[in-house]
Amino acid sequence: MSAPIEFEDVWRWFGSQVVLRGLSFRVEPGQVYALLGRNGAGKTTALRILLGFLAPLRGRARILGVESEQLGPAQRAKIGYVGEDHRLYSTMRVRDVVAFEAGTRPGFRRDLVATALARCGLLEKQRVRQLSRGQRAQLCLVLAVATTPELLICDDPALGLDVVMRRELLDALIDLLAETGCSVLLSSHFLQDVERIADRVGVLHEGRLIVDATLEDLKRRVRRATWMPREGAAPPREAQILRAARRRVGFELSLLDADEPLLERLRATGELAPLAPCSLEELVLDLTGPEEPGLLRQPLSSFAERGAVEVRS
Amino acid sequence: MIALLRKDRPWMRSVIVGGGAVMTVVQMTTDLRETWALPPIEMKGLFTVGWIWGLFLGLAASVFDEKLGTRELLEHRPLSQRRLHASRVLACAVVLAAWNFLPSLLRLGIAALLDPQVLAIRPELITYVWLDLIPCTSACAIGLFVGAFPFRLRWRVAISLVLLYSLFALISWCAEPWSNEEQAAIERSRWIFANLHLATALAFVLASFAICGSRRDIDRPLPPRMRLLGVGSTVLTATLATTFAAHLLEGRHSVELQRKFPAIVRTTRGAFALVRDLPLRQGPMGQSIHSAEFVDEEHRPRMLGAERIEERIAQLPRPWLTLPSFGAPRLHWRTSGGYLESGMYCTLQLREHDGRYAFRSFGKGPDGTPFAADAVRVAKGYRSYDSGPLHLVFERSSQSLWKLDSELGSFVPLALPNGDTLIDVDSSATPTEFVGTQVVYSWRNQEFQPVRASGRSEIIAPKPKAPLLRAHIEKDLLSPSHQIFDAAGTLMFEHAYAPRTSSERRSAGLVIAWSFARPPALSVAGHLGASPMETENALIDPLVSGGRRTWLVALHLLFGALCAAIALWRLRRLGADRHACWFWGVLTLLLGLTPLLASLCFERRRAWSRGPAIEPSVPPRIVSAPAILST
Repeated sequence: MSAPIEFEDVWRWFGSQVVLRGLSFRVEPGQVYALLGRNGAGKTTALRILLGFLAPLRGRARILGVESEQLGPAQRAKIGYVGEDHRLYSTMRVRDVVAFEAGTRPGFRRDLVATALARCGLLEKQRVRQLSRGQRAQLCLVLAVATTPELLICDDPALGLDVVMRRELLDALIDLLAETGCSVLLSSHFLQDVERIADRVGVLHEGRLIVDATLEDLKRRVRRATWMPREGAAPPREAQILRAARRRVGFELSLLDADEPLLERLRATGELAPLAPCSLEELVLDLTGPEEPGLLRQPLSSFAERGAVEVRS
Repeated sequence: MIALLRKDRPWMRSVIVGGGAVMTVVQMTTDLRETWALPPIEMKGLFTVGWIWGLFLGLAASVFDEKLGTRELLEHRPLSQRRLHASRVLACAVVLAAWNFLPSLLRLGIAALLDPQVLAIRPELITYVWLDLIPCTSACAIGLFVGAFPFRLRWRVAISLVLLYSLFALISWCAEPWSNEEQAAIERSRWIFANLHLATALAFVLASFAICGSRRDIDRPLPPRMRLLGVGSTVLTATLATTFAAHLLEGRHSVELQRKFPAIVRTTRGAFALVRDLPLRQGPMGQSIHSAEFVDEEHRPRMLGAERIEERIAQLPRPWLTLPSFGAPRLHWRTSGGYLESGMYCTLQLREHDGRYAFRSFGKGPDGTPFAADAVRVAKGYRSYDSGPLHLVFERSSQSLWKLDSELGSFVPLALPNGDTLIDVDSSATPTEFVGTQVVYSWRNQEFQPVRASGRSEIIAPKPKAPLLRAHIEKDLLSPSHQIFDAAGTLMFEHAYAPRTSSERRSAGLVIAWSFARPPALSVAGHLGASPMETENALIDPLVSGGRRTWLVALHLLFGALCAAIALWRLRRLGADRHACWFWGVLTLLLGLTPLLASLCFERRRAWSRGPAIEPSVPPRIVSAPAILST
């Protein structure tokens, strides 16, 4: 079975601003893939390219076996989409929205919608403009899954929702996955939620994919440790050290595939605390965050002058 | 399709109510009898309101989802772009249907409420209302078409206005000549007007289907289909509008030039001379003083001693100046009649078979001989609704008076009573007076009635009549020629005008400069095909029509080639593809300056940019093998 989503060296720029630089990844059937990254990293652009709303300027994106630019009605019938702004026709009532969707999407399951609306506490007579942001998000998700799609694409569906609403949305998504087993590509800023739902994550940074790994793999391979150097010692420049953040006492190291020789070298120049697992949030922060707390990106040279060293590929 | 209309209901409702209310108000401003009892002459208000609302409707239908931010929501459903567009067309059709019926019903309903004893109406006259609202359909189609362009909204509005003006002016220009024809008269004009608008609507709706779904992406070149249909039609109509503007400006500067040309006068010694009017001077009492100076054939001032101007012989005819415009279809004529250039007298008559007015032309006698050029209509003060208008024509050269006999279908000679001979007609009097050698008459009760003894014969008789002159003018914007013949046909004076002074050359230069704004293709067509007298057709350059100024046609072609070369050079530098180069190359070669300027707007550097330098592909820092999950 071919992958429902494939990006192959996709480039996209807007004028002089390059947003995607050779993005390549694939989502396997039944997989939940989370695309992570900071604001402006290129997540929404990647999703819009995938859905054929924007064209790649180099490379190609394929969805359900067709080029995204040639996406036709037959493929769209199998794709559910929840946009980040949960856009709906604001003059309609909930029942009009449902009727509109039912009239324009073959295979739309009204029974599923009725159940889901009742569960979310949405009334059919409510006007869309009177719904809260969370209710709109829930309604969008319900509508997206009511056609039992093969592929669900969610662009930051929980954006702007409070913690309760977010949890409700996530539960709804998990229920859907349990029922249908469809593939999901979602972008999100809520990494704890992603940890609960995703099989695989991709981290986009400045248009490049810097992580494309399963969650289990990440948890196994990335570890954190506190390292207190002896007088005058600095963290070694090693490819396995993802980030060395200066703390009040010593450094907080994020280590990738930390093997015994590396640990020996660190112990030789300082005191190394036991390795601890790294959360997804910490990993994303290490890979895409500012070099120093409170500072955004700076040249590596200026950073080195302050006594800290960061190693990046 | 019906489900898709759900989302359009709010704007459809607003547009039906808004447009319908305005159309009702416009209908209310017209007397009920003039729309619903008698056929209306012309409904300008309804026409104007119709095309404005039609254009708004088309644009609103096209950009509704885009401006609401729901375009992606709409497009991400298993429906083709054509089907989505078909729903927009259907929504527009519903609104147009409502506009064609509801305001008329409302107007009649209000009339029935306000005046229960309203006169009997003729429901079939709603076709006249529809005729005035047909442009609403074509304007709506233009709006739908241009609304699908992947450009900024303000550009789309501007393009739609240019398209609308050019096409509507063209349709009015096509329909107008037919309205003067005797047999078909206004009826054919109406049909042409309606059919051309319907054909325009159909063409633009079909074209809008071809380009629907085009997305605005300024980092990519325009799709070939969009370039061909959207940009092509825009450039063609922009060229048409530029041609109209060039026509106006050429005319304006040629009028300026002709004002600078000297006039032909006869001096007190009976000789012919050229004089140039000098600027008005202020007299000692504050009055304006006209003065003129004699000039030689090179238009340089010269002295003629004690000579004075006896009379001005002729003025050059002013070139046609007005811009092509569009307007409501003329449904009926209610003017009486007048002369055609052919010397035939025309009048409008009610046709019996359909009760409509039509032009009918009449000449002298049963064979319908045209009148001489100096014939004038003299019937002032005689028009009455009881006896009908009086059609009298005085032919000065033969000093004969003719009266229209509508039964015979020709003019019959009319003699003064008692063998008196007609010597003049005094049109300044009311009613018009007919001056015989003995008595002055007026026309009353279908016959001449003496008014007073004629004193004018003594006044006229002693004055030696100047020899009758005939002028022949070779019309040309820059170098007209003027020949004056006497009654025997002997050439008495001729002058070939040409820009000779620096001021005249400056005006002539401007006329020529503006001609370069016209398309070279039309210049060649006018040069080869049009008659030399063609100055009123805005599409034909009067400077080159009828085989004149081949050198200027060659310059126009060279200019077109230069425009094409510039456009191609720029496109190649940008890295444009073969399709774009061909498209703009052919357009600029044929149409000249306008497509060159349009190519600067439509083909932006950014769209053809090759993007950043290709960097080697860097694999993700952390990567694990794809996990294949069971579905």
